[in-house]
Parts: sequence; C-alpha cells; structure tokens
Amino acid sequence: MSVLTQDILIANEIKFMIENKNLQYGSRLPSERELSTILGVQRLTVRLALKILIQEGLIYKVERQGYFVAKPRIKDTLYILQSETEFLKNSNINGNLELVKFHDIVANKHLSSQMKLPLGTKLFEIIRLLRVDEEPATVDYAYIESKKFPDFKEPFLKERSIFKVLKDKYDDEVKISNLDITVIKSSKEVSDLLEIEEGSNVILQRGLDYTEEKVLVSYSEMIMKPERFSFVSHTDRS
Amino acid sequence: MDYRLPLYLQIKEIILTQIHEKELLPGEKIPSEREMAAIYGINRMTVKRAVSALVSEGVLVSVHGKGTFVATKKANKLVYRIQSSQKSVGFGALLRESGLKQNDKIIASGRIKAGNYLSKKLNLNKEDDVYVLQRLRFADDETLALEYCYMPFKFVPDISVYNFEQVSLYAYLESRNHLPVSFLQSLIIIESSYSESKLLQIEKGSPLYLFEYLGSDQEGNTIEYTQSYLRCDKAIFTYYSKK
Repeated sequence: MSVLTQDILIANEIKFMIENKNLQYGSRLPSERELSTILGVQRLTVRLALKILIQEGLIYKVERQGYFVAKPRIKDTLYILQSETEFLKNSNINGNLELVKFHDIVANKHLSSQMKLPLGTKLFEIIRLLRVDEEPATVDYAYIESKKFPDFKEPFLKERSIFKVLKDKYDDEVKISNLDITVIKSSKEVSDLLEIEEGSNVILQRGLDYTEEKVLVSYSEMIMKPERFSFVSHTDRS
Repeated sequence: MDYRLPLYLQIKEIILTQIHEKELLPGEKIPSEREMAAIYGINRMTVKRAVSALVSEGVLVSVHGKGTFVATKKANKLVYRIQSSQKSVGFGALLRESGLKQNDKIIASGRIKAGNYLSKKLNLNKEDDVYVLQRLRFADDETLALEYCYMPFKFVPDISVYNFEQVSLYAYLESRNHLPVSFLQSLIIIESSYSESKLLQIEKGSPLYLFEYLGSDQEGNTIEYTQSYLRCDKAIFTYYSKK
C-alpha cells in the first residue's frame, strides 16, 4: 500500500525529468504512453500526474500534440527593494514597461484608507503595463500625492522609474516598502490590458513605499498574471 | 492625521493604527482609559468615547471587570509575515499569535522511497526512505491549508510513535536536535484541483497559494521539504523590501 497516491509521486518524477534534462520552454515531453513505460506506471497515473504539473504551471497541453514545457516563472525576490525598471534589468528578462495612463485623480475611499490621506486628496495615477516576451504580465497602478510632487510630468518617466524620478527631481528616496500579496478577481480594465477573461484570478501585490524617515512617498498596486510569477525568500530563526 | 480633528477621532485613529501595525495584537488588552487619558493629556470621557465607538464597530471587545481587548476577528485574513529573520516559524506559531484555535487532521503518513525528485530536494540517495506527513490544517475549525511534509527518515526514525494531531512537529524535531532553523521559500498561486477542493471544502478552481519551503537544521542538514496548499481567501502574505 502506498502512503500517498501514485500521481503525486509520479508528478515529482516528471518534474525531476524536466529539471534534470534541462528541458526549455516549448520542449515536448514524451507521450503519455512513453512516460508510462519509462516510469513503470499505468497510463492513467501518468495522466493524473501531468494534470498536477499543468496545475502548477510547469507544462501545458496542446490537443492531439502532447505536453510541452511552460515558460519559466519570473522570480521576484521578496526582500530586495527595486523599481520596476531595475527589476527588468536585474532579472534578465526580455520585458518592457509601457505607460498606459498618467492623469490627475482624487483619493477615493479605498486610496484614502490605504495611503492614510483625507478623501479627495489630489493624486497622480500612473498606470503602466509590463510586457515580458511581448506578452502582458503585470498592470502597475502607482499613486503619488500631487501636492508633494508639483509639476510631475509624464515625460519624466521616459527611460526612468518612478522611484528614480522621485529621487532625482524631488530628493525623496524610497528606502523601504511594506508589501503584501493576495489574490483578487480581475476588473474589466485589468482584464483588457492583460488580455485575460474578466473575473480571472490575479495576484494583487500592494506596496506602500517610504523614505528613510518613514514618510509615505508612493502607493502601488500591481496586478500580476498568476502563472508568470513566483515569489522567493529565505528566513532564519532568530 | 489632521490635528484639527476632534480629539476622540484622533484617539480612535491612534488605536486603529496600532492594531494595523501590529503594536496591538488580536486578543491583546489595550491600555486602560485612565492610562490613555494620562498619556495624551486629555479627558477620560474623550478616551471613553473613542473606545466605545471601536467596540460598537467590532474592532475592540470590552470584557466586564477585565478591560478592553483587540477583537480576534474571524472575517479577517490571517497575516503571514515573511521576514529574513523571525522568532517563530510555521502555521502553529502563527495561529497561536493570531489568537486562533488550531487543529490538524492527518490525512496520510508513512514511509516512501525518496526517488529522484525528493532525493535531490532532501540531499538523499534515491533508495533512502522519506517520511511523509500529509495534514489538513484548521484555524478556528475552518480549513486553512493542505500540507505535505517530507522528511528524511534517518533523522526521524521514531516519528511514527507520535500523533501530530496532538504533538507539534517542530517541538518533536527540536527534541531530536533537528529543528529547522533556516528556510528557503517559494510562493506561487494556482487553482485548486478536485482532490484539494474536496479536502479543503472549497469550490474546484478556487485560488490557492502553493507555499513550498526547504528547512534545514543548525548543522545544515535538510530536514523538511514542505508543500502547503493554502486558501487564498484565508490568508495574506506580507513583507518588507529594503534598499
């Protein structure tokens, strides 16, 4: 009698196969029948195992063609504070950040409670779309208080991150961000930008960005495609 | 905060901020009205007004003769803080700190052969034994996570004697000098399969965090490889990033 169902153990073995053979994005896996011979288990077990790997986003299935290795996830290292621009540079991905919208808004109830500002405070909303390998991956909503950053203009953001503009032009350097990760349903606007169905599960990564003196500089909400990202970290017991 | 706001609203805001920033934890007693009046140099009635408002909003709970406490809100999501260094690690500790009732149900446990994948994760040979513990974890009697914990059997030879519905796994590992002290974690978001949905009593396709970690002990032995399927509607991950 086995302790765990076979599909879990076989899924692990196929994972090992992908890692060990260093199969890249788009590589085709052996067929269900071949895998069943290689691994010495029933074809049904193989199929269930492959289902687990599809669920984890490691492979995808093409009808009548078989199973293929999916795109590797983009790794986000949790404790390292970097702007989107730095992130693109450091993580060695083929990405570009496109400005979707830059406009004046006032703090609604949601933003007012997040940023701890009175309702109606004037803000700049900066919406950007991150594409990785030409495909939309993240919509980034950033908010800064207009009064604190007078004359903030759209062209500032050409070739430069928001953090860099705030530092260079206003001498406000973001030193620490308090972030959290949850899952929400995608709105119409986000779905259109990410080219996904409205109401899909998406990652919401919220961040409050502070200066050394713990003064709030900006607030952001990044809406990310779940299958494209993984968040990595380390913890030591103190 | 605007200093022109009525004082009771400012006191309210102070308490809310302290709760939000975890200076006051769920279940913790807040300072007495008299103490707060003294700290801020204001009338006790003003403090009372702020506290009463928070009690009626369900943020605080007042227990007759004992004082006022931060409510342990069920509706709130569990906050899973990821830090580079922390005192207590794991769900058990997190639930205790959050003032939630903790329960575990063992779904499966026993020895398996490491095979290629687990032997690489746990630094073993293919033929070595691995002890697997599959647990369904509850918080306040509601399902929270489905967890698979894989441990090299050589480090836990007497593990099957213990019932981990009663004994803490980390307490056991500590008693065997193999308490994991260093963790490498990765987090992805997936949609629940049929079998996970059934165990977690959620709809198939509901979002789940898949939180995986490798834990090693003081000597650097890899002690556990854990995969935790955690309900997204029950928890939120939070952390700080620094320059």
